[in-house]
Amino acid sequence: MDRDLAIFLLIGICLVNGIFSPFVFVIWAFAPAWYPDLLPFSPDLAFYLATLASAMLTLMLSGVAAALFERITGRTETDETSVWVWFAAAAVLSLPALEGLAGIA
Amino acid sequence: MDPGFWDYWYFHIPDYALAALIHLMLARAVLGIVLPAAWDSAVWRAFLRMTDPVVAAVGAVTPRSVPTLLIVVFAVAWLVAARAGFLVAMSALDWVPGTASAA
Repeated sequence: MDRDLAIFLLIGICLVNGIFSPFVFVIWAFAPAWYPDLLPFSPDLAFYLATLASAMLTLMLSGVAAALFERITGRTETDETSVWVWFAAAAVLSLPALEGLAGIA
Repeated sequence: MDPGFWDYWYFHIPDYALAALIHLMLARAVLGIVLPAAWDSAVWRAFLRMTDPVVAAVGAVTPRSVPTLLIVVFAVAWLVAARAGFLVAMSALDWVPGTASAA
């Protein structure tokens, strides 16, 4: 296992959560609250942006756990352990999506 | 100024403040890509000083290996999420102009 593999898995699970998370529908439902005025409104585009937002929020929220781990342990850089903590937090956030996928499979 | 602005100041002021911060951070993200890293300009330095507190706050909850430009992008996302959450909360309380029921 190395750091690059951990980063690859982290990005992958964030993308999976972005696509399959039931939270995407909640974000989509609240599109009037975040949809940029610059773009013409389209339900399809709003859903696509909601999936992107879900993936990005997964990456950012799970990053908080890794950041706290680094500060508590006094790390000055993000090493392999820190990236695995980041991945574990993302996996926890992705449980609803993974459960849904397991139900489909 | 719209006479109804002060009727809902508790909505408008945070909403405008968040919107201003979002646009400032978007500008920093774009200019950070376009401008040379060592560009020496009083206006650019002042702009960085205005946005550095937001970058520092987001940087505190972001892993250390994340580059500054990506921290700025994360800051935009956090601010958009905060503004959306604020709007949803105010709507639930019926404190948004145009949705509040007549007294």
